[in-house]
Amino acid sequence: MPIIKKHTPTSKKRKKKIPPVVVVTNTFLPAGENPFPEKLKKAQEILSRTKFLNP
Amino acid sequence: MKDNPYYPYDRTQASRYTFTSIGKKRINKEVVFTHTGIRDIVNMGFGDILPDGSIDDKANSNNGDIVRVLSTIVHILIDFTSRFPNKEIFFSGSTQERTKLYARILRTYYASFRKQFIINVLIKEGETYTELPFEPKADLKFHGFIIKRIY
Repeated sequence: MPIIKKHTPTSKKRKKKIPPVVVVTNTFLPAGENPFPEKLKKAQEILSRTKFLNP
Repeated sequence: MKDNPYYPYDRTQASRYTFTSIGKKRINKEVVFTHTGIRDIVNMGFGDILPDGSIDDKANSNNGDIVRVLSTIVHILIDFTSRFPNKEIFFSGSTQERTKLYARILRTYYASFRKQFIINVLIKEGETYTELPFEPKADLKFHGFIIKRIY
């Protein structure tokens, strides 16, 4: 008579779920990679000629 | 404004946020903060992500969800300034009309914004600009805005 191997739920191998790796850097985007070069230039032009409230 | 519904956003870099506007069309948008090199002021840029990956900050998408989009930007501002509370944020419209729109929004939601931000404006006097506290009732032509988080 053939031996029937019983599988209990505890004997099942479960694949470990690996959480997705999300890398969040704490550094600013380098100015060269800025997608708004015109806007940045305009901001710098305005700010360089600005009298600030708290100099 | 911050109490209005807003889109979920991703922050893949300290200074770069993306979200999707879902109106008549799905439009991917990006908000980027870049150091200006002047004081501790960071420039905030915002626009639509084009298929080639470039950003169009002059696009007038008319997607029917302007309040939700602006509310998302306010949430992004809150997130950014909570991580970098000493930074001042400069922004202006890509056109004078858009700068006027930002002024209208600041006026409308001033009571709420002033609890979280110091809001200053830049006006032009000859060849120079002057920073003044934002007064909702002042009838002035603004050339930009500088905000700082209050703690």
